[in-house]
Amino acid sequence: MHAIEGYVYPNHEVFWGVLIVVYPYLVSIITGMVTIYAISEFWRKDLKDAEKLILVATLPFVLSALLPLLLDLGQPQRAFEIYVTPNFSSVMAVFGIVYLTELFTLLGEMWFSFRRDIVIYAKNEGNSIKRLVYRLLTLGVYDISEKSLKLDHRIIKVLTFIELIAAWCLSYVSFLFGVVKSNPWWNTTILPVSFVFGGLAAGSALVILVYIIACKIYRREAREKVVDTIAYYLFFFLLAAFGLEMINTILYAYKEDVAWAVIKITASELVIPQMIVVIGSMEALLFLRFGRNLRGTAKQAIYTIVAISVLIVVFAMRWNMVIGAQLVDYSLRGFIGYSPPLFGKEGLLAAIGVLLAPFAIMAIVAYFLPPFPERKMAPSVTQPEKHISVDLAERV
Amino acid sequence: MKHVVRALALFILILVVFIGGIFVLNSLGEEIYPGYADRLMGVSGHYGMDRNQKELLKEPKYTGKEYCRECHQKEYELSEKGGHKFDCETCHGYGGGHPPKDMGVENTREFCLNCHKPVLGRSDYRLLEDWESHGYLDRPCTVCHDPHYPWFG
Repeated sequence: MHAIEGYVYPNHEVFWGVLIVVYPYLVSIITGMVTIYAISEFWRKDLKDAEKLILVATLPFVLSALLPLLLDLGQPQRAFEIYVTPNFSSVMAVFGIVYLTELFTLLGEMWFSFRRDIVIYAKNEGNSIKRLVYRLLTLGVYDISEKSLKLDHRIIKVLTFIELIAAWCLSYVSFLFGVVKSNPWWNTTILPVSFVFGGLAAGSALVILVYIIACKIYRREAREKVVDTIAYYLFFFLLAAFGLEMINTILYAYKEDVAWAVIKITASELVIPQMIVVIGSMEALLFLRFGRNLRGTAKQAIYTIVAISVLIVVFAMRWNMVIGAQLVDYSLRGFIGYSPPLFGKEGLLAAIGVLLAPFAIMAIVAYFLPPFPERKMAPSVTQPEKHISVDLAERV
Repeated sequence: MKHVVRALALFILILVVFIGGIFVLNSLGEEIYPGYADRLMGVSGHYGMDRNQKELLKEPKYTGKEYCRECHQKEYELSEKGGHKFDCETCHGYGGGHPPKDMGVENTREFCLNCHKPVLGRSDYRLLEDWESHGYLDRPCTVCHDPHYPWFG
């Protein structure tokens, strides 16, 4: 079997570049954030403080999940064609339906949970353009009685349930990109599970990061209970993702058939991503285990480091899957190298732009829908009506 | 209750517009979508530009024998006399853009041996059974054979 080494079929090349790494990465982050939101909605009431922030942070990621695909298309003006010609026998066409379900349930959730704030802003906002936006957002209903808010909460629960299912289905594209290539390395049954857990870890890490940063920006104290609870889940998500990933690699290194390809490629071409996965996961798990005992700023610093390293680790996992699977030749006797170009549609700068786009959109969304109720409302131009003159801070 | 009804109505409106758009675009045919969007972007054909148009845009590379005849009458007639009757571009490379561009020549031993070495299924050529020792091994065949008329006498 190993008589010929370094043999690559002549038409073998890397078709999916760094942009296709970014795409499953963004989608897995969405899965994780939605799951944390569902946890706070159904089980852990102590995450209430971060609930609106998670919604505000999820929407930009859902909106920009399509960006890498648009950039990857040779004819982007035909992007709408996937919706014009629905086709249930194509997994990628079903993605459109799942994606739209996710987007609309998220928008619904946002509207129902921000409705009270929107109504108050529509009455009190000084800036006339902003007030017009809020008035349009109220859809003409200014009823924020206890009864209607209770109904809102019930609807949010139903929407969260639908959104959770859609988000987990959405993460199938994460492993689809590995499986479609039908490379023996990634043609394994534990792959979907390992990738959902990777996404959950990345999403929870991003929620921690955004929460700590947003608390700094809004000059309020980050609640230790919130960060601790998310970190508790993050520990187990990361443990599962890392464990399954390692089992996968070790299993194939142990099995004789693809041992050469896997060992050689992880020892040379993928050595940096693999090292990031192993060392980064170990570091994050250790910090998560012992960071719980710290207090105050030290704890926040440790959790920020953990969150950033988990995000990098999951990116390296996605890199291993999308790029790594393409590097091994179908002959299993050779592999090729890949380094992304800097410029151009498929380049490194475009990928960085796509990764930063959600944060730019997040600033716009947070401008209109502040995730934390402000302590002091803006001085009202018109006298507010009686039933809405409640200080927002009291609800927290 | 009123706000839920309004939100639901808005959602259904968006859904109807979206699905209606799909049906309308589907029934209008490919000339409208993606045809119209393609024309705005300046592309045509299923895979971007029409492939015939794409080929026509390319500069022609190979010019043919008659193009060479306009200046190199002597070599043309000499090569027509023998059994080769090759196009000049077989050995000299493509002639597109030649008057300013310099022409090269392929006169290595290996190039001639491509046909004159005994190869299975090529019995009709003048074969060199002693190709491994024939002539000067370190010099091209054209030292002894006139490249345009390689027959002695």
